[in-house]
Amino acid sequence: MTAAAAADSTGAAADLNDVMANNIKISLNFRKRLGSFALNLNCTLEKKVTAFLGASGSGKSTLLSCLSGTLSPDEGAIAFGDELLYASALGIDMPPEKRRFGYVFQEGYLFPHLTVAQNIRYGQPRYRRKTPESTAQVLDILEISALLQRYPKQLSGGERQRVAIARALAMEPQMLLMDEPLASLDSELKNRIIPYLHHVKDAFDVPILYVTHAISEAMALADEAFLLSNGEITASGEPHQLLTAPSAMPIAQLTGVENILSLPVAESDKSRGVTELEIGSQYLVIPYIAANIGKAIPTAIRAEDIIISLEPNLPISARNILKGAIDELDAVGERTMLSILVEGHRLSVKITHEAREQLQLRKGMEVYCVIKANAINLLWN
Amino acid sequence: MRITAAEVTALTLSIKVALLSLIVMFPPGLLVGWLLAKRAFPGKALLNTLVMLPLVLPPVVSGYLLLILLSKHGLIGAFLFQVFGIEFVFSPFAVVIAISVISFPLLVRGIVAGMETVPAALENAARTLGASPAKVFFTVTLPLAYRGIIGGAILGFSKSLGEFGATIMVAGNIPGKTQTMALAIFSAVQLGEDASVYRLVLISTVVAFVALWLTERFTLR
Repeated sequence: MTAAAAADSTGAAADLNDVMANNIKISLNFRKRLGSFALNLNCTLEKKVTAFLGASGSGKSTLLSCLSGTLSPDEGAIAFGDELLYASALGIDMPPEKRRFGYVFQEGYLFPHLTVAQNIRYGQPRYRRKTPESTAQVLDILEISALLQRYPKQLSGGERQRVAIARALAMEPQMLLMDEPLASLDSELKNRIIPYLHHVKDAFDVPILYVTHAISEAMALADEAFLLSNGEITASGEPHQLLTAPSAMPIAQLTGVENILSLPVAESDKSRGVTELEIGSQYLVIPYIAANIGKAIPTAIRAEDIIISLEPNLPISARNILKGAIDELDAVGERTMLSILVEGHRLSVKITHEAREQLQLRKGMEVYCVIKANAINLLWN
Repeated sequence: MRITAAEVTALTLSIKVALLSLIVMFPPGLLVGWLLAKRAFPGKALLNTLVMLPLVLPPVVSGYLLLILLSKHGLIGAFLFQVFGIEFVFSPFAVVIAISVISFPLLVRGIVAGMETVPAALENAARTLGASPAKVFFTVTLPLAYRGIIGGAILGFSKSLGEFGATIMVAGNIPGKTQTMALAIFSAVQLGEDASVYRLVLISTVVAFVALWLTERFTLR
């Protein structure tokens, strides 16, 4: 086999892995009205991990409640493979306990009167209680064996969410529903939990619906993403493409990360502790990660974390000084929003009006974007 | 201080009927409490009003209404008498019925208060984990509402121990048969038996104190 063929076949395997187990399709076609809000969905989930991305009030929680069966839609149908979970025309509305959808809540909702072990056992199918190999695997992957005898209030936030995920997995669900499972954690904890979610994705043959307002989580986990706004799907597609496209900018700004760049690894040097990413003919230096050369690494940079300079050779410690040209200037409230093109990549930069005047920034002007390595968030683990 | 046999009889009768009432009313109390705390249905306000009515009605009025219903010529009493040949009024069972009606609102209030502290989200979580509504009730709602439930039970029991107005209307004041502590005190006062009054009042106070204290111990965190 040639190297090219080998690369090809591994690529195909990776693709297969992203497609849902047994090719199960989940079709959502229903409407639900709650006061003045209406959720109106018509989509099919075919990938292993699907992210629904939207701001609060966009209908994410309503979607999950309808899917899990704790809330009945007004009309339409929900099908999991061949199985109808809900069909208004046929009068079908399967109760939540029959659906076997493992639900991981933002707040965890562990049972406070039960130990971690009892919480995890709660949803386990009865006939499995004596052969808990799968549970052992769950405990192993989420690293909670040491927590089993504790009560939920004795757990840290991150431990609580891991237990919540374990509880949902231990029931051997047909599907995992995750409702902002990281939203209640601080960013450092988030970055520690995301690898666990990756392990879960790889180790269990369960489709996952991941609902979040954080682009970084959707990028890090999902095979497909839907943008949800006011109860309607406004865009869908492969997350990196969808979320790095200029059309995703409003969502990016909504969720507080304006710049999402997917950049290939140029060099990774463990001894120097740095990895360099290619941005055109220039390089973006980030703390070392073990990634192969050429692998695309999604990164997120907040617009206010970029400093604009008119000169490249500054006596400063920041490692990243990228040359670009101003494409647009916009006054947004108290700040000026610059759109800077760096060899085809667009960077949004937020500066004060004062800085804009002092530097006499104009459209078409050549500038340097100074970025601290720490300000570059990796959306990959 | 020597307690007379009659006083002991009144005390044990009080405790027996109060316990029996609690045992009989506890399951329907749980059901009604659960309905009021966790369910939305037409007529909920009406059910709540009916259950709570004895709390605001003068006990004598409740007792009189029960008397009408249960007497040989009453709606329920006539049926029982004709079909089974039993007559409830002026029997220990009448005492149980009277104190049950009067204490039921307190029992239910405690249960509702307890169940309302259990977040619906937690119960929904249990449903998604495969639990039927019945399993959710017994494994999540009940254990988490236990403080309120025990509080309601002890409060209802205490109320039953001291009930007077409804009891005397339906059950009369028959020593050894329907004369509870409260009725015995009433009789002793009427007959001017001061020593007996003091003893009974002391016992009643101690029993009430212990009951309330137990409630507090169970319900305070």
